[in-house]
Amino acid sequence: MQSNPKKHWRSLAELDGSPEFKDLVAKEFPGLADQDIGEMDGVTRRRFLQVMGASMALAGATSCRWEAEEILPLTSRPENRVPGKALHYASALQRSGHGVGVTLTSYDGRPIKVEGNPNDPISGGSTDVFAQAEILSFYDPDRSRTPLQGGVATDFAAFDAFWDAHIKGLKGTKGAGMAFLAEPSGSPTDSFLQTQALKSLKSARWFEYEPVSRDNELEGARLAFGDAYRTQYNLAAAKVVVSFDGDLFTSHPAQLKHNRDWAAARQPNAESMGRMYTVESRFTTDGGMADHRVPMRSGDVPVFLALVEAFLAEDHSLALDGGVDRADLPKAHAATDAAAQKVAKAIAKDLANNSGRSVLAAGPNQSAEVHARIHHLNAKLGNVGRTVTYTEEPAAKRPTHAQAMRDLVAAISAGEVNTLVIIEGNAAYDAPADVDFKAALAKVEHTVHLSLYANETSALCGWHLPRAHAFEAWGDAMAWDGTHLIGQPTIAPLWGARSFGEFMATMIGGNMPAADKMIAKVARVTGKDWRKAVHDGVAPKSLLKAKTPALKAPSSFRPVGAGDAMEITFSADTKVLDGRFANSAWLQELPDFMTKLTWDNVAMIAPATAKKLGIEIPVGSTANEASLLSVTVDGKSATLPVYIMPGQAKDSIALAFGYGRTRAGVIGGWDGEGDQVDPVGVDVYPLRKAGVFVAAGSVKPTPGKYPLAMTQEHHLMDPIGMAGVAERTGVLLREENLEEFDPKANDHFRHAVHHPKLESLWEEKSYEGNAWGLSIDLGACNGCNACVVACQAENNIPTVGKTQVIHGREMHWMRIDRYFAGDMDAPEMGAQPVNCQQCEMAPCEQVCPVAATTHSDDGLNDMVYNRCVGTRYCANNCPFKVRRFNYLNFHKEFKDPHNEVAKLGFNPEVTVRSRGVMEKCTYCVQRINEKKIEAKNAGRPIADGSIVTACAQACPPQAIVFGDKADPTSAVSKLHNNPRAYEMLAELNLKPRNSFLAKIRNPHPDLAMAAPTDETTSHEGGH
Amino acid sequence: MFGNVFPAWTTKVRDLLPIALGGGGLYVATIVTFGFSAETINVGFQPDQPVAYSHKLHAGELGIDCRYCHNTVDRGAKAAIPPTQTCMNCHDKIWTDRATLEPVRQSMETGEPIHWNRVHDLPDYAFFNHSAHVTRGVGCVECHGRVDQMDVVRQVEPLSMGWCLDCHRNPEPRLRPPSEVTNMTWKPEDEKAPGTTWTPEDQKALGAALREARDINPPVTACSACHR
Amino acid sequence: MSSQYDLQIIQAPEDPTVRPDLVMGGATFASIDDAVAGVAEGFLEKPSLVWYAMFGGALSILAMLGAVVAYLLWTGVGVWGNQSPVFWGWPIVNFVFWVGIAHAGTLISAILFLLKQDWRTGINRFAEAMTIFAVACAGLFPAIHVGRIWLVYWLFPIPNQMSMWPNFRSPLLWDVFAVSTYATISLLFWYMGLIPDLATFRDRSTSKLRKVLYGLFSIGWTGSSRHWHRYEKAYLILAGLATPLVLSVHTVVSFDFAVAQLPGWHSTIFPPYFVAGAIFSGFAMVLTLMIPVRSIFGLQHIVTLRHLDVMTKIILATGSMVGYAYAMEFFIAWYSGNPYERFVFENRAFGPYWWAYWTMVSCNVISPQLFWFKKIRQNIVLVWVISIFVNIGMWFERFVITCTSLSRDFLPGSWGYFKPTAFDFLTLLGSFGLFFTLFLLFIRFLPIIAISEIKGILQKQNHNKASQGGHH
Repeated sequence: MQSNPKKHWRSLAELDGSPEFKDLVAKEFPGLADQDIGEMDGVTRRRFLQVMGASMALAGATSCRWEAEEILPLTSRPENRVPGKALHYASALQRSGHGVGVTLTSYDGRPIKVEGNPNDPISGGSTDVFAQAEILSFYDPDRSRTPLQGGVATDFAAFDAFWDAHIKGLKGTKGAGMAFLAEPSGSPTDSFLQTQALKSLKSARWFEYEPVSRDNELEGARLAFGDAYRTQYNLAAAKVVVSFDGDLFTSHPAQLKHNRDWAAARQPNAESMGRMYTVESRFTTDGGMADHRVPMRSGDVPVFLALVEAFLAEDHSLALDGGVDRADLPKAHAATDAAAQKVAKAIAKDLANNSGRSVLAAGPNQSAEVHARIHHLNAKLGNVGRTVTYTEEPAAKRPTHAQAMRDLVAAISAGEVNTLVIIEGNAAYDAPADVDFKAALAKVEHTVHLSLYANETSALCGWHLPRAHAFEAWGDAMAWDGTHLIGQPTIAPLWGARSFGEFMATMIGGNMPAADKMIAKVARVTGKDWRKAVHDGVAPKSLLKAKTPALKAPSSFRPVGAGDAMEITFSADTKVLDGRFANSAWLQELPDFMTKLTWDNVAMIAPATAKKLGIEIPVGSTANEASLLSVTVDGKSATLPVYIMPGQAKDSIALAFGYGRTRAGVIGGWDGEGDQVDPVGVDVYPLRKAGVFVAAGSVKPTPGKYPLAMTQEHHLMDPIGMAGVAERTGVLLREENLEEFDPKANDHFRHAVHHPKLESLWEEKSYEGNAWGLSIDLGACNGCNACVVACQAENNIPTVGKTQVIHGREMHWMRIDRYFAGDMDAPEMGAQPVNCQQCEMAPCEQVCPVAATTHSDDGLNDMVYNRCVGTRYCANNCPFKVRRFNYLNFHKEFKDPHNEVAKLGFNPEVTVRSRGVMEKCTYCVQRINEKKIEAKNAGRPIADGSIVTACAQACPPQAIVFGDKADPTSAVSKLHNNPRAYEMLAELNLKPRNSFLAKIRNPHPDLAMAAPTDETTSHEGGH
Repeated sequence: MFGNVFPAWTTKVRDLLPIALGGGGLYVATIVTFGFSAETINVGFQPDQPVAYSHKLHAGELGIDCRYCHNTVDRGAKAAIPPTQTCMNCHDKIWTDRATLEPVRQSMETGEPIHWNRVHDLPDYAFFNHSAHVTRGVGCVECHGRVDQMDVVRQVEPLSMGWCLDCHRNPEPRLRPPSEVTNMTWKPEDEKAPGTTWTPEDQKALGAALREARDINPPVTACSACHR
Repeated sequence: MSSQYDLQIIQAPEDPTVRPDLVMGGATFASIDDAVAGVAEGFLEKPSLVWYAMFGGALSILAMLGAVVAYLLWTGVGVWGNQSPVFWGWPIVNFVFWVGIAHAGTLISAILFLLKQDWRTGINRFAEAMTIFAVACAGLFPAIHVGRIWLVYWLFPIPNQMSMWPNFRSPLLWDVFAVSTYATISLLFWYMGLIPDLATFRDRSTSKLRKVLYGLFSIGWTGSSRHWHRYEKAYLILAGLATPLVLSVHTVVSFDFAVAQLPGWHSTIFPPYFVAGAIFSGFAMVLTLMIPVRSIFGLQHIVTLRHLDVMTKIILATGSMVGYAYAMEFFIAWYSGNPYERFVFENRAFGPYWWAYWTMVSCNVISPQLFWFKKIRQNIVLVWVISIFVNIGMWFERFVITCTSLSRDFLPGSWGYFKPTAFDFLTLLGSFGLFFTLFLLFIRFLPIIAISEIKGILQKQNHNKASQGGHH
C-alpha cells in the first residue's frame, strides 16, 4: 500500500463506493455494440446511457414484436439513487490556471451536462462556451486511452517499471538533469504537490509555459508597483468604462462576473446607467457592448491613451507625471485625427466627472507600459478601492512564459536536461517561432508527457500517459478572485488514466495521502465543513489576500504609435482558444459571435484595407468564396482566407491561434496512424515570436479562392439585399438612445411597427394554467454564444460538418443573429438570440399535414419527432426560420464502435432525432415536465424560477429569463410588461411567447455619432 | 371474331370480377386492421425470466406490497426493478439453499446484475412517468393487470397510444384513493357506506370527487407530455 | 417540315367564312383506321429504328432515375440542394411543373367536349395520354421529397392505434386528395374513350397475343348500338365530373403556397394564375409532342394545321393571362405597402436570382406574343420552338416562386442562397425519362388518335358538304 501510491489513488472508486463505478470500469459498455442510434427513429439516449447506471441493454430480437429489452438492476442501489433521476455534483474546471466552478448533472452515474456553480462568485451560476462544451470533450472518443511508449500502446505497469528504475538514479543526483514543463495551474493542491516534488528533487527545475498568457498584465503591475498584483474590477459600481484593446467581456478570466455586473450597471435610467468606450483593433465583445467604439491599430492605442491623458490635464487639470501634452503627440495619425480627438475629449470629460466611478482597463495585447499607465490613471481618478481593487498575484514570482520557454530550451541545448517531464500543454505545436522547442525536445534522453490527448507533443515524447479528466478525479482550482473551488470525481476514469496528483506521486516515487485528504488539508477544512465544501464546490477560505499596493513614481509615457508597416495582431481564437479545443465539434461548428464563421480561421481585414489590397468583396452566390492572403512576419509566412470585417482597424490584420492542428483527433486534424484527417484552419504560431501579440508584417493577395462556412449570409451582399437589411434591422432589433427613452411610455417599442387590427382565420386558443414565456434583454446580450452551446448540450443537437454548414444545414436550435449598423468602417453591432418564439398562433402548426407539431395546453409549440414525416412545410412557413431539419443521418459517426463512448454524453430525457425529421427548441420541455411533475406530486404550484431553460442558465449577463407569463408576479411577466419589451414580427399576428427588451444606448451627449433614433430609418446598413 | 378469342364463359368471369375485387379488398383490410393491432401483437407477451420469481406467490399469497420491491414508483419515472440486495433481505435467511435462487446468490456474490427480460416495453420516444400516475390514484392493476395472479408476468393491456388516450380523455372510472393504488382487488363498491347500495351515480360521484381532490386534468392534446 | 395538307391551308385564299376541314385528304373511315392503327401496327411489321433508339434512350434515363431514387432513399433528402431557408427545392418545383402540364388533357377532352369543339377530336386522345403520364411524374415528387417516405401513409386518414388523424387544415393534405382524384378521373376518362378503338385494334390484330390483350382491355366491345348508347352517356358523365377538376387541382396546388404566409407566396391571385399557367404549359407540351409525331407518322390530314393554329391561340391567350398575373403581383406588392412583399419582388427581379426571373418573363410573356402573327402560327418549326420556350419558362416560374421567395424571407439573419446539386438535375432529367418511356409505349401500342370520334367528325363534315353543296 504505502510503497505503491497507485493503489491508493485507484481506491478512489471504492472511496466513492457506488457500485456502478466498478461496473463502469469493469464492463466495456455491454449491449451498446448492437445499437445504431442513427438508424432508429426517435430512440432516446436513455437506452445507451442506462446500460451503465442501472438499467436496460438490448438483447437480440427475441420476440415477435420489436427487439426485446433486458433490465439490469444494480446488485445493490445506493441510498439516494432513483434510476433515471438526475443528481447534481459540484466540480471545478481549470483553464490557464484560472478556475471556474461548475455543477454536473449526472444520470445513473454519467455526467451529461455542465452548469455554472452559483457558489462561485465569478461564475454566479453562468458559464462560458468552453465550460458548456466540456462534456463533449469528456466523452471525446479521441481522448488518450492508454500510455504510449515511442508512440506504441503499452500500459502503466510498463511505465512504472521504467520510472521506478529511472527515479532511483535521479533521486541519487537530487533530480539533477530533471526538468518539468507544466501548463500553469492555479490549484493550491497542484502547487503543494509541485513543492513536494521539488523538495525531494532539489536540483530539478520547473518551467511553466502557455502560448497566450497575461504576462503583459503582470509586467505592467511590476512596473507600476514594483511587484505583480492582480487587478479586480467591480463594474457594478462603475458608471464609465474605458477599454483599451480590452478583453473585459471576452477572454478575461473573470468575464462572467464582468458581464453580470455590467449588465446590472446598464439598467437604463438617466441617473446611473453606465457608459462604455472601447478603443481596439479587432472587433471584440468589448467593442460590441460599447456606446462608442474607436477602431484603431493596437499599436496606436497607447497614443490614444496619451491623448486622453492630455485632455485630462488640459481640461480638467488631472495631469499625470510623465504625460505628453497634445502638441507633442504624433500628428496626422489615426489616434490623433479629428474624430479621435473628439472622442478622447469626451472620455476625459466623463472620467473627470465620474471620479471613483470609472474603470480603465487594457487588454493582454497591450504593452506593460500601457498597463502600468492604466494603474496610475485609475489611482489618479480615485477608482482604486472603489471600482478597482487589488489582490495578491499567485504567479507573481514566476518568470514570463516566453522567458521560461527560452530558459528551458537554453538549458536543454546546454545539455543540462536529460529527463523532461511535460504536464499537459502542447509546446511542440504552440512554442514561439524564435524558440526551436522541437529540436530541443529531440535532444532530451527521457521525455514523459501527461495529457488528456496524445497530441503533437506526445508524438515527440518517449512516453505519453493519459491524464484523468477533471470529472474523473478529485481536484481543486482557484477562481480569479481567489475563491478556492473543490471538485469531486463524478465518474471513475472511462479508460485507465492518472490525475495530476497520482502522476506527481509517481514522479516523486514516494507515497501521498489520498487526493481528497490532501485537498482538505490544503483548504484547511475537516469533517462537516469538508463535506459542505465538497457539496458546495467551494472551500470557505479565500486564497488571495486583498492588497493596497503603493504606486511607484510614473515613468514618462511618450508613445509614438505603430509604424507604416501592416500591423498583424495575434490572439487566442474565440472558439478553440489556443488550440486545446480543436477536437471539439461543438466549438468548431459554433458560429463566431462576430464573423458567424465555423470550421476555419481567417485573416480579418477592414473593408478599407481590402480595397487597398484590391480584394473584391464576395457577394450573392459566391458569398462564401473567400480570397486568399499570404501574411509574412519576419520572413515566415502563412496563407489564410480573407474575411472582410466591418469595424476592423485599417491596416491591421487580425489572426487567431488554435488551428492547423495535426494531432488533435478526427475533428481537429490527425496525421498519426489510422485514418488521416486534414487540419482545420491554418496554424499561425510559426509567425509569432515569444511573447509577441502585435507584430509588423507584410501581406500579399494570392490567387485562388477558399470556401468558408458561415451560418449567416455574408453582411456584404448585393445592393437590393443590403437595402432590405438596412430597412429591417431597426425593426427587428429595436433600440433607442437614453435621452429619447421614456421609462413610463409602456408598449412604446411594441408600437414601432404600425399594422391594422389583427384578426385570426382560426378560433384562437385560450390558455388557463401556466403560460410559459421567455424574455431576452438585447441591451445585455453580447452575443457570447454560451446559450447556443448550452442548448446543444442539453438537447442532443448534432454537428453536421463544414460542407453541410456551407449547404446551410447547421442544426443549432438557438442562433444569434448579428447585425451591423452605420458606417462600415466603424459600425455599431447588435446581437439578437433567436430560438423558437413559441407563437400562440403558430404558422408551422397549421400547415403540417400529419399534425406532428401542435400546441400544448401551456402554450408550447410542441414538436413530435416520431410523428414527423419530413415535408418541411412547417419550416417554410416559420417566419423566424428556427426549425432545423435532419437532411441526412447526422449521427452516423456512432456506427463506429470507437465512438460508442460518446453516446454516454447524451441527455437521456431528450429524443435523438433520426434523419428525415424536423426539430426545434421547445423551451427545454424535458426540464419543464420534470419540475411540473415534481410540483404536482407534492401538490404545490410550480415556484417561479424553479424551471430554467439551458440557455437562460448559461447566460453570463443573465439576459435570458424564463417563466410563467400567466403569473403576474413572475420575473418573466414583469419583463414582458417592461417599457422596453416588444415581440418580433408581431404584425403577423403570431403572438410570440418570446419577447425582447429593446437595446438602450448611452452615447456621450457631446458626440455626434449617436445611435439613430427612429426605428424604421435606423441602421442604414453600411455600404 | 370476339368469340374465337374468348370462350363464352369469360363473360361470366367479367361480370363477377367487380364482386371478387371488392370482396378481396375488404378481406385484406380486415386482416391488416385486426392482425396488426396492438391487442393482437402485444397483449399476452410473456417472456421467460432468468429467475423463477413468482409474483403470484410474493404479491398474491404473501401479500407483499408492490412498493416493497418497486420502491421508486412514486418518486421517479421508473418503477425500478429491485436490486439483488432486496431479494437477499429475506433470502439470506429463508430458502438459502433453493436451486431456483442460485442466480440471485450468484449475482450477489459476483456483483453481476441479473438479466431480467422486459415485459412492459414502451417505445423510447414515449416518456411515461410512474410517479405522476401513482400519486394521482391510478392503480397498478389498471395497466399491469392482476400481477398477483401471475407466476410469470404477462402483458395484459395493449399499451398503445390510443389505449393511453382512452384513459386520459376520461380518467374518472380509473381513479381510486391513492391509498389503494397497490391494492389488486379494490373495487369502487368498497368505498360505499356500509348498508347502502352502490349505484352508477355513486360511481360517477366518486370519480369526480377523486379527480377534484387532486385536480387531475391529464394532457390529451399536449403531445410534449409524453413525446419530447 | 410542312406537308401538302399544311400547304393547302397556308395557301388557301383568305376567307374568314371558310374554315379548313378538320379531316383532310378525302379520308374515309377505312383510311383513318389504316392511318391510326397503322402507327401502332407499323411497328409490328417493320419495327422502326427511330422508335427503338428513342425508347432505349428514355428507358436508360428511367433506369438512372430508379438508381437516383434508390440512393436518395438510402441516404436522405440531403442529396439534393435543399437547405435552410430553402426547405423546398427542385422536387416541389418539378411537382408543380408536371401537374401543370397535366392540365391540357382533361381540359381538351372534358371542357371542349362539353363546348362541342369538334377540333378537339384530332388531339384529345393524345393530350389525355400526356396528362396521365405527366400526373405520374408529378405524383413521384411529393412522395420522394419527404424525409421519411416509409411513413407517407400517415397523410391518409386511416384509423390507427395512435388515434391520430392527419391535419385537415394543411394544404398539403388537400393536395393529396386533389391530385389523387384528378389522376383517377383522368385515367378513367382516358380508358373510357379508348375502349371502342381498342376493339378496332383487336379486330385488326393478326397475332393471337394482340387479339387477347386488346380483347381483354376492350372488355368485349362489339360496337352494338346499345354499347354506343351507354358509352356516350358514360363519357358525358365523366366529362361533367372532370370539368371542375381541371380548375380545382391547380387551385389546390396553388394553396400550398398561397395559404402559407411567406412573402411572395401569400397571395390571393395564385389560384386563377396557377390554372391559367397550367393550361398554358399543358398546351405547350401537347404541341411539343404532337408536331414531331404527326409528321413522323404522316397524320397531317388528321391533326391539321388548323388544330395547331387553335392551340397556338390558346397559348397566346393563357400566356397573356400569366403575364398579367406577373404584373399584378408587382403592383399589389407595391400597393399593399407591405415592406416584406415589396422586397421579395424587387429581390426577384434584381436580386441574386434575377436570371431566373428574366428567363421566366422572356419565355412565358414575350415569346408567346409572337403568335399574334399568322405567319408565325403557320410556321410549324417556329411554333415548335416557341412551345419548348414556354415549357422552359413555366419550369422557371415555379423555381422563382419556390426558391427565390424562400431564400430571403423575414429575418435577414437566416437568409440563404440555394444551389442545386447534381442529384437535382438527375432527378429532373429522370422524370422526363419516365414521361417519355410511357409516351413511347403509348404511341407504339395504343391508338394515338380517337378513331371513333374522328369518324364522327368525318361523317359530320361529309354531311355538311353534301347539304350545302360544298365549296370547292
